[in-house]
Amino acid sequence: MFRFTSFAIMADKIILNEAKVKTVQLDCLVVMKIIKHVDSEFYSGMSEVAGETCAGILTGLIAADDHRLEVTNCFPTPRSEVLIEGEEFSQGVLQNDDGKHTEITDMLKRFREMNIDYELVGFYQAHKFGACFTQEVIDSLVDYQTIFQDGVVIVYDPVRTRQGQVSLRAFRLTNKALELSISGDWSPEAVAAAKLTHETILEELPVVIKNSHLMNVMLSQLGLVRKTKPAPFLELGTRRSLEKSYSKYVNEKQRYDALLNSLIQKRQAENDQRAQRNEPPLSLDEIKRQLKVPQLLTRGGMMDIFLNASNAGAFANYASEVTNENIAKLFISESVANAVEESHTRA
Amino acid sequence: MASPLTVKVHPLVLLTMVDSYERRSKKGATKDQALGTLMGFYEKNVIQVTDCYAIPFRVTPGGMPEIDDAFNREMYHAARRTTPSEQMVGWFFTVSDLSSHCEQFHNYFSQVVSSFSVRRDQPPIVLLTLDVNFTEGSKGNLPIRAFLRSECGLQKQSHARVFQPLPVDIEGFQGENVALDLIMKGVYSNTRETVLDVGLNPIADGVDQMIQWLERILKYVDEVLAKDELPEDSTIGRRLNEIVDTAATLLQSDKRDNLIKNSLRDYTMISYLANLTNAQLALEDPIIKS
Repeated sequence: MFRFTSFAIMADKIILNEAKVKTVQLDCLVVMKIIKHVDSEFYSGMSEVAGETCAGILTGLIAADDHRLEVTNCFPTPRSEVLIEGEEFSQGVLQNDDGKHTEITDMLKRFREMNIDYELVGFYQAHKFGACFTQEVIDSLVDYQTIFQDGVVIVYDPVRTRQGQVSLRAFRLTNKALELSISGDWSPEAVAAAKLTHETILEELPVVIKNSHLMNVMLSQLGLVRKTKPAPFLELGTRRSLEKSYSKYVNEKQRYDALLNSLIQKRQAENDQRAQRNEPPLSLDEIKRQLKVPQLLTRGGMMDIFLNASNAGAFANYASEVTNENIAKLFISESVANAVEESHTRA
Repeated sequence: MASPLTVKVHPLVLLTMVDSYERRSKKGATKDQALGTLMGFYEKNVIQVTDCYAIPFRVTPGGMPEIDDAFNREMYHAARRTTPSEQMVGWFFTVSDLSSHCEQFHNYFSQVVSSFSVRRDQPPIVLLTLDVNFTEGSKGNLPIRAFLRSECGLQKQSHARVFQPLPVDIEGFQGENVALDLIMKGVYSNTRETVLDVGLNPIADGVDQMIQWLERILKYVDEVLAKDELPEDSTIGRRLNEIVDTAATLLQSDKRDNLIKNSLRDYTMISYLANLTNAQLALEDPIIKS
């Protein structure tokens, strides 16, 4: 993910206003574009190859009186590894941050020519099973939100959508989390002072989809023309994805536990050393060094712990929601079968 | 001579065309028209159009049409970088009748496509039109037409070029279909909005829909049996037979009971574990704080 390093923050203290936006409104075009971008990458198998999730930029405007963030268009951002085809591209061109930055500004310029809203309002990313809490996402969100308070990230879950429910969620950092990220201080004390838990780092915003009138005409026409393909979510066989998500969250959970344990142990060691200092003295420098080490390791550590916790939570939520749905499906099929049997015995 | 090609258009393309029409420039000779490039890929006998973008164009007072070539190339390169599997397959124009300008635009696009393509000499280029003027003939529709330009003439001499219409199908990737269903619900609401629905509600909707379909099928079967005049569609009869057969065999009581019991057991276990994880996460927060 890229960072707007050129928009470096000059002031030490930033006055963070309350974000004015309470809901996110997406144009139906944006929904289709995001889904198409992510799905076509899956289709051609690219997401496995590149190892970087598909992402893009959202453009739109803020309707201040309505407290809405309207997203009217979006475009995908290129990946850092480019698959070479044809003679136009030189071999092994890797795009660095600046390159990506110019690409984005170029695209925005073109949007302006075509009368499309060109104001950046956020970015979107695709994540399987909704586990979107990575360090890069948080960093990018910090960048966006320091420039304009109302940037959001839209997370799209392609696995869920394949099973029949479009899964698009909008997140942004809470104010407290934003302050902490800016000061770069993630030690346990600061976090405890700000009363942050892993759930309160990101807040979710409700998403609404809006169509224009002409779009409505087009959509109703499409409804008549299309051969109806019912979405496959009524199938009973969703065990495969559950297995995958289950194993993923087990791993996440283990990592989180390990991190947490190591943190706790380090703090214990720190306390012990502090107690020891009251006793016959060792050389002060050595002790200070030892005291420092546990501090440094936990600087970024708190954040990681939170992220892992959120990821594990996301997996767990996904698993529980899907199992609930499947249980419902099972009951439905049971009642259908009972009805069939009754009719058999009657007839 | 009918060409065997079919054009499969993805819904995103149509929506983008409508959107670029809505944002068209309102002055000059190009009033009420939007033009752009189509991206997609070729399959056997099918041209799949999966994406498109609008480009600025104008018609000078002298009647000469102009397209911003640099813009087109830049957008094309950007699109190639994000989705290398797509290539330029044609162009779109929101106009009701083809005019002489179309010929010139088409020339331009054939040039651009042949400069970019490396394999064949000339892949077929598609022109997609969308008629946004609600004229009498279209009856409130937005007719979508696709054309292929081909040479025609007598005795192997090409006298002229003709735009031949091609059949258009609407097709989408799996995720796109699901999203389209969701968006179409916005057609029925007053504020043209839809809220994303998670949880058990979509299942309830799906079941309702299934019930509707079943009722329709029942009505149809009753009618056919009662009247004896309607042509009996044997394919439908065979399909119904298949469905009833599978239902009868798969839903036999003991097999079905086993299936349900096992699945239920698995699902409750997973649900329990997931809730356990959540509980553990919630517990550790106060530990961290202390």
